[in-house]
Amino acid sequence: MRRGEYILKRLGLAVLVIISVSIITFIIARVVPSDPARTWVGPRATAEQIAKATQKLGLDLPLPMQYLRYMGDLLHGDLGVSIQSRQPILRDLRVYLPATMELVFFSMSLAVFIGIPIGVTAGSKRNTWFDHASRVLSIAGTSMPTFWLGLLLILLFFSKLHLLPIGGRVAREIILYHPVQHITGFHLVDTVLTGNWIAFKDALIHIILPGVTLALYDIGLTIRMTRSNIIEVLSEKYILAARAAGLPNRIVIFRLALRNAIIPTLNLLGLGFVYALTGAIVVEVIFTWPGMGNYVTKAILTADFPVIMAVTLFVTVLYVFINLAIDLLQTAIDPRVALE
Amino acid sequence: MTSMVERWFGSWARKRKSQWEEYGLMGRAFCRDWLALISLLIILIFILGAIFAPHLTPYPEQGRGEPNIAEKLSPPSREHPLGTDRMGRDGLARILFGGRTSLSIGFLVVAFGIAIGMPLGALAGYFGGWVDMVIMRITDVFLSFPALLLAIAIAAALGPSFTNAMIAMAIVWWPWYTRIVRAQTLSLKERAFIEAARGIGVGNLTIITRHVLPNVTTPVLVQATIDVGAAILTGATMSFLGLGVQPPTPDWGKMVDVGRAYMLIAPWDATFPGLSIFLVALSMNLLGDGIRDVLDPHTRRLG
Repeated sequence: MRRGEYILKRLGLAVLVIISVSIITFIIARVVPSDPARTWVGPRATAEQIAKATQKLGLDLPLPMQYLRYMGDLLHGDLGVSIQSRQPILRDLRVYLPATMELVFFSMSLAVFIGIPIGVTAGSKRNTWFDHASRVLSIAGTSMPTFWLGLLLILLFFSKLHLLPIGGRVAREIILYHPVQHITGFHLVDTVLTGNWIAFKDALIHIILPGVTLALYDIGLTIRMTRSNIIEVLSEKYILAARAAGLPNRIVIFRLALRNAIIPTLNLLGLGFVYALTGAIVVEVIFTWPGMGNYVTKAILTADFPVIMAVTLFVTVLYVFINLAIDLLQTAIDPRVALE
Repeated sequence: MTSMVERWFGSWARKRKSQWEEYGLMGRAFCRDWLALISLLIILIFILGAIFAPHLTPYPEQGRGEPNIAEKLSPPSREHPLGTDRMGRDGLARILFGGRTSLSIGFLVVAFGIAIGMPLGALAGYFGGWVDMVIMRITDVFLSFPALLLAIAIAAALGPSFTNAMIAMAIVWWPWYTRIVRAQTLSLKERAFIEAARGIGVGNLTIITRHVLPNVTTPVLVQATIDVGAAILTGATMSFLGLGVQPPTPDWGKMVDVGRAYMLIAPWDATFPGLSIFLVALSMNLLGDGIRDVLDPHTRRLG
C-alpha cells in the first residue's frame, strides 16, 4: 500500500505545483510595467478606447478576481490572444508545437543512442584513453554556447562545404511540388508514412544541423551521468560476486549492471528533456526553425507579453507532467522508490 | 612554516594546526591537477583582462561603444588582432570590455543565489517541521520551471537591462542552493557537536551561524564554481535573445547576436565573443571538478 500512497501523494503534489506555477506566471504577467490595455489598443488610441479595452480585458477587477478569470479561461483552453497576430495563442501553438517537438525528439534520440553507449563504455573501462576522450566530449558539450556552435556549424556545412541548408524546415520546392501531408505534424514521420521520399530526404537534411546542435549539450550530460551510474553500479557487491563466479564480462554488464542503471537514466531523460526544450529556443532562432522558440523570441522583441506568459505556462505544465510520468514509471519499475 | 605560524598567532593557531596542514594538503593537491591549474589561469586572464580593459587596448573608446565606420568589418590584422565589427570597433577591445558585463553577471547571480538560498536551506534543514515544509514547497515550485524560460519571462516582464536580467537569473538560481544546504544541514544536525552545543544552551541562531553554515560550504563551493560558468552561459543566451544589456554596451552574447547577420562575410565578429564564452564556461567547469577533487579528503591524498 506504500506504493499507492506514494502515487496519490505524487499526483496531489503535481496539482499543487501546477496551481502555484499558474499563480506565479500570473503575478509575473501583471508586473509588466506597461499598461496591457494601452499595449492592446496601440499607441494612437483615445482615452475612451483605452477605458473600453481595460474593461474588456478585465483589468478593472480586483486582482484575485482577475486571477480567477484567468484560471477559468485556461481551463477552457483559452491561453489568451497574441497582441502581434491577434490570433488565439492556442492556435499558434498548435502550428508551432509539432515543429519544436520534432526537433526535441530528434536531438534526444541522438543523445540517447550516442550518449548512453559512450557513457556505458567509458564507465566500464575507466581511465583508458576512451574514458578521457569521452570526458572531454562531455565537458565540452555542457560548456559550449549553443548559439555559437550553431553558427560555427552553419559556417562549416553551409558556407564552406555546401552540404546542408542554412536553415528552415522545408525547402520551397518541396512545399510546391511534394507537399507533406499532415498526419502527426512530424515531417520525418509523415513523409515516411506517405511514402514521400523526396520530402523525407529534404526534411532530414534540414533537421540534421539544428538537431545536432541541440543534442550536444544533452549528449555531454548523458555521457557524464551514465558513466557515473555505471561506475556506481559496477562497484556493488553482487557484481563482484558474479565476476568471482566466473561470469564473462559482457554478461555482467548487459544483464546485471544495465538493468539497475535504468532508473537513474529515466531521471536523466526528464532533465534532458527540459534542457532540450530550453535549448531549442536558441537553436530555432539560429536556424530559423518555425517552432515555439522562434515564436517566443519574436514575442520578446515585440513585447507580446500574453505570448511569453502563455508559452512559459504551457511548457512548465508540460514539464511537470513529464516529471510526474517519469516518477510514476520509476515506481512501476522499482517499488523501492516509494519508500524514500 | 608551522612554527612561524605558531610564533605569530600563538595558541589560536596551535589549536588549528591540523586545519592548516589540511589546507596545505589541499593546495598541493590542487597544484598537482594541471587541468585545474590551466583553467584557473584562463579564468584569471579573462578577469584581469576585464578589470584592466582600458589599459590593455589602444582603442578603449571603441571598446565602450564609439563607432569607427571607416574600418568596419575588417578582418584580423596587425592593428586589429581580432578584426572589427560592423561599426568598425576593434574586436579585442570589445571582448575585453564585454567581459566586464558577461563575467560580472555570472558571479553576481551566483552570489545572490547563495545569499538567498543558503540561509533558507539552513533554516529549513535545522528547524524542520512546517518551516521546512513551507520553504521546500516554495523551492519545489520554482524548480518546476524550466530555468531559462522563467528567466526569460521575468526579464521580459521587467524590461531588458543588465539589472533586470540579473534579478531574473537570481530568482531562478537560488532554489538549487536551498536544496543543497538543506540536505547538508539535515545530515549535520545529528552530529554530536551540534547536540553538545544545544546542551550547553547555545541559542539556535548562533548554532546555525557558527556551526552549521561553515560546515556546509564544501558542496556549495563546488556547485557555485560550476554555476558561475552556467550563469555566464545563461546570461549570454539571454543577451543573445535581446534581454540583457542593450547596445552599445558590449556583451559577449549580444555581440554574437549582432555578428550573426554578417556570419558569412565577416565570421570573426561572432566567432571570437562566442569563443570567449566557451573558454570561460569550460574553465569554470574544469575548475569546479578540480575543486571537488581537492575538497574530498580521499582524492586529496591519492596523488
